[in-house]
Amino acid sequence: MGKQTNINSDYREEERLTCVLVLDSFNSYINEIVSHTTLPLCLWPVDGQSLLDYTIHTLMRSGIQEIILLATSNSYEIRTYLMNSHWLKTYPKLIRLIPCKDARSLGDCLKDLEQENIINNHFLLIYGNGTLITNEKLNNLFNIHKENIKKDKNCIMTLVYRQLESNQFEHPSFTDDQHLYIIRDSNTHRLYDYSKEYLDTYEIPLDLLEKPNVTIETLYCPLDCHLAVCSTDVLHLFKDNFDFLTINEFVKGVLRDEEIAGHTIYSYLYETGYFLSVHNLRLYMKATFDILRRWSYPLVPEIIASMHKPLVSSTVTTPTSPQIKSNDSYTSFHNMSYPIVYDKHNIYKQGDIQLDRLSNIQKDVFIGNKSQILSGVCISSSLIGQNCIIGKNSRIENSIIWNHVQIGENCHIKNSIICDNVLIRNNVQINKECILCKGVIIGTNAQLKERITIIASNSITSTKPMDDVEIDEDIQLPPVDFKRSNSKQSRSSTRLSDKSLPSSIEETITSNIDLVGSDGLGKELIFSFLHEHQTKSFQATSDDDDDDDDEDDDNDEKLLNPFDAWGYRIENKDLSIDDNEDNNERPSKPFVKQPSIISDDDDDDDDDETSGTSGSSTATESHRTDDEGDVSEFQEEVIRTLERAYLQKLKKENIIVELNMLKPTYDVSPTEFDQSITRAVFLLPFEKKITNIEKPNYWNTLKLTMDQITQDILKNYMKTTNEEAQMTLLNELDLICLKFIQPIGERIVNILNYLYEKDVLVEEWILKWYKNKQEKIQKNELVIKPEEKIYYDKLKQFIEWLQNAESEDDDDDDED
Amino acid sequence: MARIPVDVEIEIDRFCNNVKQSTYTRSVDLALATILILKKLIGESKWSNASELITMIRSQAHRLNEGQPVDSITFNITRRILKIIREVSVRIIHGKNEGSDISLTLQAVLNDRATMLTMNDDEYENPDDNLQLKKKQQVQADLTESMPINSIESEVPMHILKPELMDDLNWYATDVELSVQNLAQQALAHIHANEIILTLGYSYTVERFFKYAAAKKRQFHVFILEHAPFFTGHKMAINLSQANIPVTVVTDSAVFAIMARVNKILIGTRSLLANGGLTAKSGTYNLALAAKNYNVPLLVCAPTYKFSPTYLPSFDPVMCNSFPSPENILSYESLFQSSLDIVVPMHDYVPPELVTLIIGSGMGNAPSYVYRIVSELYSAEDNDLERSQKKSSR
Repeated sequence: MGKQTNINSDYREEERLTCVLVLDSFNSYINEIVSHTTLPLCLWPVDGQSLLDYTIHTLMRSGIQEIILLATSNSYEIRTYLMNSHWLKTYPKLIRLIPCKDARSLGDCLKDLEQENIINNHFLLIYGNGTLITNEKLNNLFNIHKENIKKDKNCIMTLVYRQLESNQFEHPSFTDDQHLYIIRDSNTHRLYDYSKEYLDTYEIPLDLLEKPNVTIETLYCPLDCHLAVCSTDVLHLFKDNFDFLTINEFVKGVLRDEEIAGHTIYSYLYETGYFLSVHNLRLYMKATFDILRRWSYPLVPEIIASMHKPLVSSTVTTPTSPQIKSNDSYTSFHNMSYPIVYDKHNIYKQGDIQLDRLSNIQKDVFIGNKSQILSGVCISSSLIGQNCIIGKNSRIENSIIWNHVQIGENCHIKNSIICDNVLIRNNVQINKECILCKGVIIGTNAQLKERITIIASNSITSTKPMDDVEIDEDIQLPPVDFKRSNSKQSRSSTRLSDKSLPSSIEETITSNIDLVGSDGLGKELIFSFLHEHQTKSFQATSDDDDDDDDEDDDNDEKLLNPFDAWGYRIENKDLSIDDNEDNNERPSKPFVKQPSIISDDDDDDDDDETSGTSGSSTATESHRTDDEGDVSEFQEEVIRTLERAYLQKLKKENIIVELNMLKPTYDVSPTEFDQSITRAVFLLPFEKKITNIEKPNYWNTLKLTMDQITQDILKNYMKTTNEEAQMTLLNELDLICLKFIQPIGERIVNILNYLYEKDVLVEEWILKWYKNKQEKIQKNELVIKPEEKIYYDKLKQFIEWLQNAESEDDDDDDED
Repeated sequence: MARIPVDVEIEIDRFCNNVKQSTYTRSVDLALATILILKKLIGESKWSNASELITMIRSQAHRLNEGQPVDSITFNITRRILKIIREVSVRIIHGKNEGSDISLTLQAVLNDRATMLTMNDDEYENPDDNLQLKKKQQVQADLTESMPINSIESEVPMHILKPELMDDLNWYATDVELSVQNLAQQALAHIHANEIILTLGYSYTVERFFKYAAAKKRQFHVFILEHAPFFTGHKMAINLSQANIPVTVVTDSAVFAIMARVNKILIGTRSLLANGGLTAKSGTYNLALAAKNYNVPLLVCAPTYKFSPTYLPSFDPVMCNSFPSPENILSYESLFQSSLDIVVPMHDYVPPELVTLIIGSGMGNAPSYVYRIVSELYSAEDNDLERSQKKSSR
């Protein structure tokens, strides 16, 4: 012991090993959810302790002597937590909390840190959510960084990764937001390129291969530890460059300005050891289960368990001062210590629990103090907090249950997170990846579908200071949900009425019932922030009309939060629909009702074709979505192509070749292909870049595009000799017109006339098609809604004219 | 009531954290750190007499053991120190008579449940002192009957006890510090020329033992089982080969195959239970069974602080074990479903009948004699330290 302390003190004189934790994931989805749980993500319980505690243990093991916490909006909770924890008492100088209340990004936090002027040496930076769990000792990273500096004076940062095997996409600790592509020198590990792009759009800068004495090595999707060793210059750079908001931008920026500023970045790849940076909910669950399965040894519950207050159960008494009087506090906090007993099959029992003889605790289970498990309960791979009651014959799988939760009989809970004070009545079924926030009550026989976040309706006002949030967005959940349009619609109606705030409470109570049952309490969480971000992103995109700048592209992506709380990539359509509703008003309603047919235009993607980022996104989406999704993605792609063709005045031959290339990529049938082309042509004028912003006029814009390019495209694919193709074209046009009576349907005469004149359509097919349609109407297969009448009238008008023209044959076009 | 000042509290917490972070790689370090922390506790907290001190230390014992739920070294040290306090206080009361010290130890034994057995043992061991002893025992017995031990201790005030106690503790600390060295000095008695000796994994004590023999120009050959999946045997092999000892590394699974060639087995242990059984590195049970089959003697190096007065609560392998990361076996990178269970036990229980000899700091003992040593080392009242603490904390 004597030796030990001496070593430490020597070390201290030499330099203090510092670590900076940025305790915010800056993902608005997560922050929104977190605000309803009263605990910031870094304090969420993991096997008897908070995530932050595990991180601090990690750092202590590594011999870190100073931990600086940068807390954003959650700083009050973190401060309260620290006051109650034993760390401040045991190591008074170890932890320092710097609140950065206004910080909206990592960059802001680091700017605040720079102003504090307390960093004067290399430091470890843990970003992401600031919660890294590892059993490696990190102190040798400082040495590695110093080595790098010795070799290269310009080195300012060493990024740390953990190697994964080649099939990393299937690895459970890989989430979409960790997608990364790194090119580095295999000897020096110097970073040359760093990209979040997907492989099919990413191009290796070829000039790298020509560099002398450089052996290029690529790292594809290593496990991102969200860990970096930084020199002090990093802070200065963050301060000087306001556009560095994330590490991603920082690295890209530094690499881009390498010739000017001369800074370089290195990387280090761990090949062993457990690393998990918890920055979304999927990883939070993963961390919990990994710890239960002892991957993080020696950071395991029964060893970590210490005498400080268990976190969540503590009704936070306002802390008086960090220096708590020793004697009385000692007794109180020693009583709080619940030893954890480890049993075979990775079962952890904390303190006093009541386990029924007939209960079936399978494996990887943590049961908190004073919890009761009644007979017939089956639990596997789960965390049960303190003071929970699990009713008879319930099944709990892969779930995390916080403290003071009551679960009734015959419930079935899968892969979900259930926060404090939740009451679940009998026969409830909760499917994957649901989150029940604090105080929710789920009524009898309720069934929750996948990925729903439920909040107690009153908690919105009580816990979260709302800043003029307007709840009118329909889409708040990631794509899986998107397809269940039925349940969606029923809810969307209630939600739209939420706009009027005074009546919102009543509305929530009515909306409860179909979700949480008649005796339940709670409503689905609506991500209020989407609104804010949209306006921003809209401005951003409308500014950078045609430039191919990566930076701007990233900005958009970031603001729109491309990843949801579970770390899944959010498919662009969700957001695009919101954008439409907000920004172009016109085609809003039909979009919501029939999402699968309509093209999705998207601000985010506007300039992508040229810069290349979004092609990547579509690529991943195609992994996940089914055929239907493929088609709509394909159509999206067609629209992009046409748009580009129009804006850049490309030759039609090139475009046709390009479209032909797209066909096999998305695996669409010929009919689908034709349909998509048609739709794309007629929806193209809705694109923002093409629309004349001052006076949006559909017909004029359409005519412009038609004149320039699209008529040729139609001609090429819908040959007048091919009956089927012509019918497809007409049918699609019909559908689109019906959907958008307002701008398109009323102009049907002009459109058809135009197509007729340009020989895209021949009257033979038009008449035949019309005849078919009339027959259908007569047989009552088609019902004409009142608002559609105008369209049919116009159509009839045109047909009559056409028939006349046929008979007279010499008539001039006089319609326009 | 005894009071613990803040800085000692902090010191204890730090000690716990150090243990959790496995700062102490060798068990000696841990033992010394425990002594140091207890010295601090005794030296700096406020207590008025010995019994208060004892209650205080007992209340802290469980806390000190935090972070290493299955290791008994801190408990052993705490027990030993409690014993020293009791001894010192009795010595103060009954005069500074060394003789009374011994008899008191026996007195404690007498109070134990196995009274008769120990009596016989004692008589057998010290036939010379027999008469004198019996007299003293009688005196002591009278004394204890009239006055319970606790009250004896409560009479001892702090200002007299403290300096004496500190002396004893310092002496004890040096004793622990030198224990490995003392143990190693017996090497020549156990390692004979041209023997083939088998060991398992890395143990600091065993390494010193071998090196001592090698330094005295004894020629012998060491077989080392690599101790998968931790492979501490590799470190042992490198260290020994640097001392020019001929070394062969063998896989664990070959233990039975090579046993026929081996003259002797020498291993370290994590702790030594009162019945003479061991909790040692995983794979030791294999080794011991193979040794039994070939009648190869199994010698165990155990410094005094590893003697524990407890018994294995059950044969449940979980109770005396710890389970490190499965990464030792299966890489984290590889994919598998949660249906795959990985168990990595660190320790094995070896029953006493498989152990031939236990080499302590002083001399070799048979496993059946361990309970006797234990009862001399610790006072019987403290044997329930672990259990009582667990109960009270619930």
